[in-house]
Amino acid sequence: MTVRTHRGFTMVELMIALVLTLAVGGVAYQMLLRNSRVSRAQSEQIGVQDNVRSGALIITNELREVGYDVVTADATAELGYAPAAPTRTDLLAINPSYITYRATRGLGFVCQVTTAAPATVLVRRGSWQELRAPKTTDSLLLYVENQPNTANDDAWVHLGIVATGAQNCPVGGAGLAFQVAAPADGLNLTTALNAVDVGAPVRVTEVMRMEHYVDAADGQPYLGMRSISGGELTLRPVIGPLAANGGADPGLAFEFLDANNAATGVLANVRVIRVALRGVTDQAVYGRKAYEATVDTLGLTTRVALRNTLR
Amino acid sequence: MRISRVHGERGMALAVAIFALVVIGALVAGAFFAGNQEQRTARSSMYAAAAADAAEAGTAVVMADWDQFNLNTIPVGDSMTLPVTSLAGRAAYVPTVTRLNDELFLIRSVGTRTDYAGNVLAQRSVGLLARLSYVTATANAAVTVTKPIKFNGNAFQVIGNDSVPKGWGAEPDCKTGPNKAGVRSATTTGASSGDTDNLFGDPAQVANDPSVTSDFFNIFGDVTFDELKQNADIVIPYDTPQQPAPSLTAGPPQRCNVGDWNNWGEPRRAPDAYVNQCTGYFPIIYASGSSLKMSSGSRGQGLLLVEGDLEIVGGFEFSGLIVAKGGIKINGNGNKVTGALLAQDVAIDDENSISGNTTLQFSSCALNKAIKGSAFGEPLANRSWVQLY
Repeated sequence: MTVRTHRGFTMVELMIALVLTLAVGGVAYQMLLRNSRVSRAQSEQIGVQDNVRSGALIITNELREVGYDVVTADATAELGYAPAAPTRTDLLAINPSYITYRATRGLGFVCQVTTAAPATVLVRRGSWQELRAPKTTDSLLLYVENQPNTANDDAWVHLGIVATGAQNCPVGGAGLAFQVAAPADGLNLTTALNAVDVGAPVRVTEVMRMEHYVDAADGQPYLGMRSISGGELTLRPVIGPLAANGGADPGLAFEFLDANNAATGVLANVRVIRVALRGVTDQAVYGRKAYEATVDTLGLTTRVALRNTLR
Repeated sequence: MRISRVHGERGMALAVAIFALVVIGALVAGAFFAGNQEQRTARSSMYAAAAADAAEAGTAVVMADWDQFNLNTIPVGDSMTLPVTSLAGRAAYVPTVTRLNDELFLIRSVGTRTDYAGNVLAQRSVGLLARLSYVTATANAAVTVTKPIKFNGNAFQVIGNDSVPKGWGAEPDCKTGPNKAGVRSATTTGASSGDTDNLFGDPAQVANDPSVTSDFFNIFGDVTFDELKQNADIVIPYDTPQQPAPSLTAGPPQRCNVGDWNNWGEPRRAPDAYVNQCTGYFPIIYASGSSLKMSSGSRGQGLLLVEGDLEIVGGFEFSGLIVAKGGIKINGNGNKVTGALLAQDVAIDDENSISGNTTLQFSSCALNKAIKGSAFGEPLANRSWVQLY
């Protein structure tokens, strides 16, 4: 008997085909799944790396201009002014999980000083450098020369800013006017302003806080910042998510070192801040333990030499 | 039995394989892209760090090697951009020094990191606020000594009356002040009655002056003798005779050759023959040997610090301040020191003697010019470092 056409498969063929299809499909699925997990894990790890690296840059940029100034005995004699603490450091509070500090937001050079009310410090606009525009909640640090033949009586005086505005300098060029107020620590504003030379540097500063905190929106820990002098009450997330603090590998840990590289809690003695950041992935990822998805972490440590504390 | 040929099977293996390849390819491409982005980010961070380091190096180098001759003469409000300095690893810095007022400077340093073709990959700017540090003119006489001076002959003159050096009258801030004493001594001056005709000033001589202490010879306002030594432009480590004179670079244009340790600046002015390019050069000269002997035909200006004794044998012209830790011995003809001369006489065998045709003339103008001209920059004691944008 001659079979002309064979349509269909035998049961055996079907079974073999099914088994082979399942086997190939299973292998392909496993490959796809593993690739997908690896890809996602890589993506998450890259995100964490970006996070901690950005965090290290932000913290370094924020803190490296931190310093202190000293009102010397000669300056006290010239100004008739003795602040409660002659050494005024920009570090206002330090803790392993937070830091409160005075940050510079602008720098300029005096082109005119007016002692008559309203007392005004006029800064040449062309030389003005700023991270952001000055606000009345900021403070002004003004370099007072006193006697020109000695540096021993020079001082930075800290003034409040009452108002800012545009005003031309006496000799050409636009200026930035700061109406200033003396702090409530006995500084005679007129005496201080009279001792300022044209060309003296001026810094605009803001009191900031940088802290490890848990964000209410997603319950994750972040590095947050807020402007204390600006009246901000809640922290803004800057980088994260971070690991939780309190464990062996905290999400953010500050260590404060003195000139001998020893840990110190004395604000005026801090010369270097060691910052340890530990970021976590947004989602659990499969790592080497292919059967278990976990939140991956990555740590980075950086040291910030406080440039204005080194002398 | 014939084996039939099967036609028109409808399999999907190829489609599945292609789909799988596409999916895997997409995943690999995605991972590669993400990895590449991360690598670029890391590289950018590295370039930025290199640029920032270069910028910091720029401020440090300007401060460490403060160029009094060029920087101290920048007019207020003007800037001077220094040459580009290349560092290893395709990094470079360009410092610009701006004079803010008579005392203060801003050093802005721009650091860059470039690729092999010179394209800028990263750029950072930092600044440093600096202040001129200069000695305070504590000299209150033409000559100040601890021990008596042995005056010989009748040709010498010690004049405490303030005077502007010949030809210096046209220079800014050069005017006379109150007259000073001719000689001040912590003990006796050594002048006999026959010598008093050669001493002039208000008064001509002051003996047993309580202000002439060790500090008088070592602390000059903000700056000490040791700090001046460390900032010396010219160091003479040996005792062989010196014959300094102003010199010029080969040019063109010819400039004052501040690299020549035998060039101590030009104290002469018109109408005398003089080297104009070196009139603004007031170096700090430090002789570290046991004695400094000046040969005939020497001239200079600035601050001359002598660790041991100073011996002048004739034909020596100097404007500014001379401080000798040992004694002074001056003889020969044509010696003229305009400014002030201080001899501490620290050793037991130190002796001071002045003879020959010698003029020691107090001059606040010469002192101030030398002091301002030789001042060196130092970072502000507080808050000197600035982040620039």
